[in-house]
Amino acid sequence: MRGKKIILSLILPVVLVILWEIGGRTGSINPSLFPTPGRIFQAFLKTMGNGKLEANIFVSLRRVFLGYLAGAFLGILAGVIMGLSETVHTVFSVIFEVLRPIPIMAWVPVLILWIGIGEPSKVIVIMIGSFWPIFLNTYDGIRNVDRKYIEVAQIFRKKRLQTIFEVMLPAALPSIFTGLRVGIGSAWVSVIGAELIAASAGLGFMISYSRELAQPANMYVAVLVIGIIGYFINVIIKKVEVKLLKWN
Amino acid sequence: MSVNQESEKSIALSIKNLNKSFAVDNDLVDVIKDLTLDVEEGEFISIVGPSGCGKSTLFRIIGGLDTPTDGTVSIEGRQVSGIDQDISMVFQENRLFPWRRVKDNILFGLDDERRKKLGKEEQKALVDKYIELVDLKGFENSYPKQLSGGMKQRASIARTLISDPKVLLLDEPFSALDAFTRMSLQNALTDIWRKEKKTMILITHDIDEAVFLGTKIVVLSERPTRIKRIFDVNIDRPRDRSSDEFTNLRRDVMREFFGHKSEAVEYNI
Ligand SMILES: Nc1ncnc2c1ncn2[C@@H]1O[C@H](COP(=O)(O)OP(=O)(O)OP(=O)(O)O)[C@@H](O)[C@H]1O
Ligand SMILES: [Mg+2]
Repeated sequence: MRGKKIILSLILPVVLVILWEIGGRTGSINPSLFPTPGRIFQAFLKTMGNGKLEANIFVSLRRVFLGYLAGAFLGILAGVIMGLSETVHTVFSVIFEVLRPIPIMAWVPVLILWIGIGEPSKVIVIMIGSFWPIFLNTYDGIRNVDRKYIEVAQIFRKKRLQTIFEVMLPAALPSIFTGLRVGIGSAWVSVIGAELIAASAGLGFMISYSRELAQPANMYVAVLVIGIIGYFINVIIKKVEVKLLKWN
Repeated sequence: MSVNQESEKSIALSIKNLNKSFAVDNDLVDVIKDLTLDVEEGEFISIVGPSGCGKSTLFRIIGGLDTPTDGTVSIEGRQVSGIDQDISMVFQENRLFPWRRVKDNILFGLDDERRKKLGKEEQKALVDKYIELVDLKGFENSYPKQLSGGMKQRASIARTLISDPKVLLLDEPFSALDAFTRMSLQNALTDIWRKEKKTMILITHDIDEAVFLGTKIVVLSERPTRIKRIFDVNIDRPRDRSSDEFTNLRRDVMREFFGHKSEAVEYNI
């Protein structure tokens, strides 16, 4: 059954790649816009061979890792605190409502102005990008903890801190995980965006640089690698989620 | 007063002139009206009353989750205000934490002060004792979603028992279960009550259940609720549901419950 599904899901991509290859070789597809899959694969091997691809992957992943970690930490912290205290939430509400709709990319030039073009500005962009979904989902999760569970903690006379850690946080965990999943997606979008605008390394930089040098095959290598890495990050998060939320 | 103190049972729970009204849209809705009840130590009180009359509200007040508008609740002569160590509750829905295994759900009921004094091994032994008492051996590592409805209620009862209250409130613990599971849990609860010698108060919709379990049956009126009548149940245990004394009492309670429309109701049964 599983095998059948995998085969079924692979038919369309394989057919497309074959058509693309044939189209390129017979000249019906412009190879300077769409280099053939064969050429892209060669470019992949070449950029792997000279280490450029790995170097760019490493740079992007490192930025995502740091920015996402910071964004997740702050997002969960702010979400829990504001979910617990209506007062704190009210104090921050106007600022948050104004900041939240700002597209992540709008922060790139602002941050470059503030702290220059180095690593920190990129990491902070990613942090902002992943902060919002994680914060919002954590906040919602804490706010929507079923009162019935809190009453159980009360009737067994548990202390406030214990109620937060043993009842509210676990109850909010599915929601927090939704935030973490959306957050990693937006971190990945942010890093590529920031690198497209201003960077001297990373997969986003590789895309814009290849375009400038008219090396479309390299450009596609970077684009595809971004998709594939994004896919695997999702798989990993799903695995962790299933393990941690097996009661759900 | 002092003549017969040895043989006289002491009062475990005393409810005096309890009133409760809720503010609903600038209006006060009376839910409990001047309710007074003394419960002796070791008794098993069954409470029956029409749906929505204020039974759960009464429990929430006794348990300290809600405050009375007027009146007092005392345990062994000591007036209680708010949540108290000596009173605990099994909720109408089981309210187990889905993220905790059965044994950890039960451990959650253990009082923190006591828990600190016990080592890990002793805690485990205590949890095992209650798992055995409610007959859940083999399921200590299951999550609630893996249990049947009856098993969840048993786990929920164990979680309350481990907190070792003097008075145990059970709010329709079996109402969502099928008839066979319900009867087997009624038997189990009778055993637990005899072994643990706790004072128990049970709310139920099921008059059969009230007669089978109770030492007394309290019949409540429509909202605002007050006590209509209290029946003593002097039937030897194990009780035979088809014996004359059982069915007679059941009929009397039913009559009181339905007022004087009861004749018609009974012909329908
Ligand atoms: N917090 C509240 N605010 C306003 N009204 C309430 C509140 N809690 C309960 N009530 C009202 O009090 C009445 C009694 O409710 P309660 O839940 O105690 O009934 P019950 O006898 O337990 O009913 P059931 O048999 O269906 O469990 C109901 O009419 C309900 O609407
Ligand atoms: Mg109720």
